[in-house]
Amino acid sequence: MPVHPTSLLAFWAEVVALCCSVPCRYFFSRRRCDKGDDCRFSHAAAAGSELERFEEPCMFYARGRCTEGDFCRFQHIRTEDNRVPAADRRTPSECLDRLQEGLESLSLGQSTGPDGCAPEALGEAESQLQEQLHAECEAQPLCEEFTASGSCREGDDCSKAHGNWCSSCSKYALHPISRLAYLNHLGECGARVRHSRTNMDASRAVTCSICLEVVLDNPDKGQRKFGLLDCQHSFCLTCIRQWRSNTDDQVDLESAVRTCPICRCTSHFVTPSNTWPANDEEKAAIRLAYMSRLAKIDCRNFDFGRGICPFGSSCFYRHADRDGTPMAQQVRWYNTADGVRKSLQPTLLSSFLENDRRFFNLRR
Amino acid sequence: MASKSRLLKEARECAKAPADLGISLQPDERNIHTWRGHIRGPSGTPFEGGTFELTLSVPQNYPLFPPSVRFKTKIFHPNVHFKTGEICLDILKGAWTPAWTLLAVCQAISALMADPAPDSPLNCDAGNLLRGGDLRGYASMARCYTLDLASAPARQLS
Repeated sequence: MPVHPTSLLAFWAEVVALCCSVPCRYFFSRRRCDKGDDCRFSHAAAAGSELERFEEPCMFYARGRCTEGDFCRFQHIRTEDNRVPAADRRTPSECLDRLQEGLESLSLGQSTGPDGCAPEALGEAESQLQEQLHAECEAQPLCEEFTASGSCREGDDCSKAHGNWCSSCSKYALHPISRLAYLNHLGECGARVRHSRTNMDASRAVTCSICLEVVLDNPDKGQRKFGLLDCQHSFCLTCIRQWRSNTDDQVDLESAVRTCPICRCTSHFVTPSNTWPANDEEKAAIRLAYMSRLAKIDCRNFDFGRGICPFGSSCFYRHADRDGTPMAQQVRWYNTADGVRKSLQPTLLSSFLENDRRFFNLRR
Repeated sequence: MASKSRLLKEARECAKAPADLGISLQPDERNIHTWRGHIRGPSGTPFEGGTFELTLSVPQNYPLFPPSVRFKTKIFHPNVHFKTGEICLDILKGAWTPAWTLLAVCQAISALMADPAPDSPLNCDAGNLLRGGDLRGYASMARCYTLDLASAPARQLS
């Protein structure tokens, strides 16, 4: 039955009105919402209401840390299974103690030996053993599981070294025995922190050419993001996205909307970034990270092979089957009588046989 | 909301604009979406010595959409409608981008006055004179209208 347009309008008005009173779930759980003022749901209601907490423990907190902090709705407790055993937190001094114990037992064994060694020989053996043990411990790689989460299923029996807490990268990544690895990690971490700090300082001065404001001074924390184009000009992510979604007839799509507002160089997509890249290499790295993030998300248009993605093989999202096998979309083309080239929807015999909704509607 | 903060920022920038630019631009006291501008006729053109008043009405969704600009002072120019003051300029239509500011728009109009495009005329008389190659005729007509309608004594009289 056809729906009357006015009743449809009234229906939508009702839906929108209903949404206005519903608390925004993003603002509710994270105290921020990417849509900002444009969000249809109520931020005031979300801010006023008490956070609903779950009984279950937070898996991220248990593994080390949780980015949600106090706004996480899961319990922030370390359960008995995932609490870091005290024995796992080895410091270099503790390891040396163990070494000492080993040496003592050795010297005891040697001195009570039947033939009795000369003190010089004993000292030599001792130093040899010490070196050997130390070299072994030093060569041990860090246990990856423990480094990331602070706990390891193997516990004390783990064949790898369990690192100490590094406060700058928030991981158990400091080698407990090897002085070289320990210093190396500290150096790397320090360099990264310095680099990101200078990067942030440089980003702080960058203004958006559309709203003319400093991007990182936006009152809405969720909107403090840069939108990178192919050229060197800087924009807020929201500003440039708004401009590129402009579909007004008055503004030309190809020569104005798809191009940089300043230099008019064509960019096919906008890369979101938290910092302003200092050079082309950094920009390429940000772009690559963004693309690889998107490549893990299933394409909504492709819909596991059931739908058509208009972007075809150049789509950034994943085109794969439900079990993860990559699927290439076969696009068939045909020419109309007017000479216009059009794509044909792929038709599977199975979907016809399985009473696919499309065909079901057609046959009726 | 976004348009308002940007317009306030632009108003501050316009107040700081150098005087030798030949452009003055300020918003209406009661409505930030209506601006008034004055362009001095560029030197070396028939409009030299005249001061032309512009009205800019800025849409609510500025800067995603261009402002609509009209000459309030009558001007004899192929790309300006003689009666309504409407301006035919690509950046006020399809080629608009949000990186343009109101001051930059006025500079573009000033450049248009110095370099008319007779191939898409709104004022056919001016366009035909230029297309026919009668530069002297165009210059004297424009000069005449500038002296009559846009020069400072005439404005004071009116």
